[in-house]
Amino acid sequence: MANADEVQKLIFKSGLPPGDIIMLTAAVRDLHRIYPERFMTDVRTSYPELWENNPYITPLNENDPTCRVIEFSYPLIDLCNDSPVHFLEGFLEYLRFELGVPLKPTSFGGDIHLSDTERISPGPIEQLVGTDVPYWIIVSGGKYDFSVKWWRHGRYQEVVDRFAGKILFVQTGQPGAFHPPLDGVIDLRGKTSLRELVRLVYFADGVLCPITMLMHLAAAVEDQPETSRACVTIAGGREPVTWPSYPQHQFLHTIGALRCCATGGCWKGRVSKLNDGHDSDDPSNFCESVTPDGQPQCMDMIHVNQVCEAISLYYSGDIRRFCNSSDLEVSRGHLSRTLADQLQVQTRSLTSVENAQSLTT
Amino acid sequence: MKRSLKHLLTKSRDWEIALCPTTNGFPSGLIDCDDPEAKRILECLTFFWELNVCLAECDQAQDERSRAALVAILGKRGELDVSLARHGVYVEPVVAGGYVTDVRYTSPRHPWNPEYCYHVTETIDIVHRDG
Repeated sequence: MANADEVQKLIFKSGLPPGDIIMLTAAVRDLHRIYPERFMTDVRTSYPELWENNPYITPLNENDPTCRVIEFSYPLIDLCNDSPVHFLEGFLEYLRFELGVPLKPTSFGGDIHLSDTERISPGPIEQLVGTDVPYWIIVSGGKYDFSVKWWRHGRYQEVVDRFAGKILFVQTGQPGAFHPPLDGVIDLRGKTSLRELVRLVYFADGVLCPITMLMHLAAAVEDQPETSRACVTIAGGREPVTWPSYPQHQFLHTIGALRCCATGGCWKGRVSKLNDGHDSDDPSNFCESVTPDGQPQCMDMIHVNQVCEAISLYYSGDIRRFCNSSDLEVSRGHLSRTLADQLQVQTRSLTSVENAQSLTT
Repeated sequence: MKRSLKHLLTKSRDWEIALCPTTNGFPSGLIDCDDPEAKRILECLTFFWELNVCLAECDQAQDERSRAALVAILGKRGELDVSLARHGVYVEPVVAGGYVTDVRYTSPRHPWNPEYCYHVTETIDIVHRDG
């Protein structure tokens, strides 16, 4: 390490997915908290929207000879099935190795910052429906390289249906990924930029998702005053509980219940071949325990009741409230409808009866 | 074997299929009929075609039997979705005028060249021949 009096200039590079970049925001925060004014840091990463308003970023020039560039990875992940380590420690461990200074997490989550304008302006759902309505974000699918993370679409729909009239769900999802539409939700799939998603999370009461970037965002975006954001993660047996979970989240997993994830996560990618030419289509990457209808056993073992109970738990205390009738009234016109509703099946039958009656009279 | 999907569907059903121009240089409207992806597209189109037939019958016959048939076919949608999900596919029917007029088909493969393209969404317009 350089002289302690010198300010070190560091540029962090990474082209990793957004969930990983959220973890990197935590590492940068922790570095500055532990060593205030000892480092100047800048980043060159994918998803730069995640760094907006970040107080620990100073514009630095890569061509400056006093500037050190560090390309990030997190080899700690190779130990996570055997050691009590969290994803938040992944980049910190790497940084500790690169800088030769002791480092540890200072907070249980990533570090996503909002501007005052983003915080004060009406939230995306308030803008849409015209009033401040409590809502949850729901992600009911995922990327194609990790189909083992997908839970049955019909079960997500059942969860939405069971909370109809109590919780307003807003569906999000990346375009081009597997995100089948849900009925009875506000459909924002493919309609939010990453920054808009950050704001959507900021104003959300909770998040329901598989292991995905959104669960990390739920823990990384600052909470509303005197509350914490709920999150129910349908995790199965892919990742060990200690690696991706957060204390305030409900993390539904099956580690220890199946041979394939008896003592840790399987870290598999796909359930079966998708024939799309992707690297993930290698059989060594496939789930070992699949139900006859093609579901990962570990995900199939998590039932609708379990998910509903996990959500309900957040409402059994004094933090949040279910929607009231006026919330529902204003949001009703924005909800996606079932195919039967769209086709007016009920109306058709009524019309049929009315027409039949008119023909006979 | 490359054949026109439009021809295939027109031959087997009284519906015409107009495929949106592809954005990645592959010819629109040509599909390998032996490819499993093409078969799945046909399976979807057949389902919604039969649904439309059922809807038309319901409107014309206006009896309980046709309505029961309509409810039954809607009930089978879940089976179709599960079957498609195994292959990373989902469909979103678009309704206009009380009928399914389009099907948005999202798949990790490309029906025109499944070996090299993935993660695409194709909009398949279903147009009644007389419409």
